[in-house]
Amino acid sequence: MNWLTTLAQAHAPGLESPLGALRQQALAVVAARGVPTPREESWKYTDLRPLGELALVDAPAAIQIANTLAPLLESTPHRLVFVDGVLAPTLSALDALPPSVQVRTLSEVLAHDPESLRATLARYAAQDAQVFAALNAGCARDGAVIELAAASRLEAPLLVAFLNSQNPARCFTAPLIVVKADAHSQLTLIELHYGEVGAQNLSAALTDISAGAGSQLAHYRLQIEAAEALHLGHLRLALGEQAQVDSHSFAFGAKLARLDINAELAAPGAAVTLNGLFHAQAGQHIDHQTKIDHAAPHTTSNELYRGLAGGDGRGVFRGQVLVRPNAQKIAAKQASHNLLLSPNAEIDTKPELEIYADDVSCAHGATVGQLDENALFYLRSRGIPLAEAHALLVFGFTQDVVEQVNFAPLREWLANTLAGSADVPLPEKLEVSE
Amino acid sequence: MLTIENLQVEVDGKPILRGLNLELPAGQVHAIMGPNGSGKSTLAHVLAGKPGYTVTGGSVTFNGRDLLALSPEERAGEGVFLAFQYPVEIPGVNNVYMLKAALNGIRKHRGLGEINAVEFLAMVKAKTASLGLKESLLNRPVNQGFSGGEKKRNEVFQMSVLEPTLAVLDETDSGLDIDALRIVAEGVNQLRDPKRSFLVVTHYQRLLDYIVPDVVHVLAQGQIIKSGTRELALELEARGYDWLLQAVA
Repeated sequence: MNWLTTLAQAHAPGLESPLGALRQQALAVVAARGVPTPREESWKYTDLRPLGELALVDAPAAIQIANTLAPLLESTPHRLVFVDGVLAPTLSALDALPPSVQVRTLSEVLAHDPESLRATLARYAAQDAQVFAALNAGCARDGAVIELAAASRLEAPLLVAFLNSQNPARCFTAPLIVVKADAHSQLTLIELHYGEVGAQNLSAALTDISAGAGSQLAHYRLQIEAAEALHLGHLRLALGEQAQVDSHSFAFGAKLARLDINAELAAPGAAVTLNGLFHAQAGQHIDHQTKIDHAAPHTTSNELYRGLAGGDGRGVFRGQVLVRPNAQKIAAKQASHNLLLSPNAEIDTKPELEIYADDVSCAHGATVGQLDENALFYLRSRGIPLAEAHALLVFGFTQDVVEQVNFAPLREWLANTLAGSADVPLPEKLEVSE
Repeated sequence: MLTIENLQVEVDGKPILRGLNLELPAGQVHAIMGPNGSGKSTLAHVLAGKPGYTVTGGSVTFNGRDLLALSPEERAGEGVFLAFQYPVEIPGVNNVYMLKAALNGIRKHRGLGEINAVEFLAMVKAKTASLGLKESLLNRPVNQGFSGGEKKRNEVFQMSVLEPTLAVLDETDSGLDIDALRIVAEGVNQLRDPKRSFLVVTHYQRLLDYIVPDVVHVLAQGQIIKSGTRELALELEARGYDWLLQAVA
């Protein structure tokens, strides 16, 4: 018996509860699979065994909103905020939503409209489901269910935030976000996972996004859990004909963080952008596993990941791209660039392209390097102190990912967060107009 | 302003400068010429404090201070500027970002507060105009995607913003066609000032047609083997270096 099985048993919903049998099935998958070991290819660089036996509780506590977080929460009128997995009504606001955009809490949908979730949850109760996605499907109690009617459009972003308090116990949460975007709808979704200093939660987070024909979605996933937290995330993107989804992962937090992203390009014209930026500092391990499935012709994927590791921090990027035999005339581009900021840091990057069609355009590149000594000297020779020159180069390294964030308050917040993590003030933002 | 005495420098255990002496008074332009491998770029790098060079003897005194004891950023704070032979690309960092950080670093070294952002922008815009540069240069990442000529002009632009008292130009003419050379030289000439000195390191005489030096030094085998007026440069152009090397040997 391991902590994962214990967890699955503790959270198994009764058979009589809505979708009870299905969710028990998901937890049976978890129990059968057990804690992943490095023998599994996708867990080669992320070993969960040193975690030992985790004692996990459900014990929601109160939270103080940090000054650094407030600008982000206040950046949009549409927000759904959870603290330790439980809805925080005073921090949430959904009154300004148009009728064509429906946002409900998962608990409400489970209670009153469970059948609408059956197909989604069934995907993660299958034998081949990723173990922590299955854990979420079995255990999730709250989160967000977002439905956009055909041709609907939400002007300001929707923020769904999962905040974890400095709970003395290791609190377990399974936040779930389901997005169903009908044809030609448009949405910007900010998914935030945040931990107060001292929080030691384990989050098994699942987000399932279905982008209908011609829909345009932007998704920003921010993982800034606390230093002792464990974060195991899963993201599925399913794209219909001519759908465009840009999903950005910013991962700066947690002792151990893992995110699996599966993008399914199932119909012609579907185009996905997967961008990522992670910074593993001393004591941190941050792993991204992305898989892009070109299942239809004329589909496009663009992937740009940038990784930083300092101290004894460890980063992992694995980028699988599958081009199926019928998927002619696709274009796939992948780049993984990484910077080691200390001699003890390590980043493993692994592009994996499997191409079974012959008329395709695929390109990939991966680099792991160190700060350019010549660039450091150049900046210092201009009068910039060493620490600041260092921070400026790190900042510059992140910019082509940060610049692709189309929501200005988020872009600024990220720049400040990056500056903060480097612990050195950056020159203030200067725009020169012609 | 700058006094170099018996300077000896090694790279990877190999002596490059072998007792170099030089006196550069305020307001003057001195040219350092010499054959390849004579130690010209080493001298420029050592003055700016580039890591990787070991000073085994001698001294460099700048306005009464021991320059060699200072970090590169402290030297910049004291008024030293190196125009690089190969300006470095800094992806993701705009010129204007870098310049503001640089100017504030220098101001801090001098015990001054940070420059006001509005004044700073007005100042850099005025400098771009006076050098005939496009303002779009300010928003571009430092040197990234710049042509050879643009990079060298950007060095001169940075110099004009940071207003050093000692500007060291390391083969600023290399890789430039005659038009680009003229533009860069005009930029440098605009900055000539009774309080500012220039050390112009060059392999070819032609740069000195545009930046007219007060003194020309010939550097060979790590030492200044001859100093003279501008006519010395013209003679080198006509006769090469061999006659001088033989005369010394």
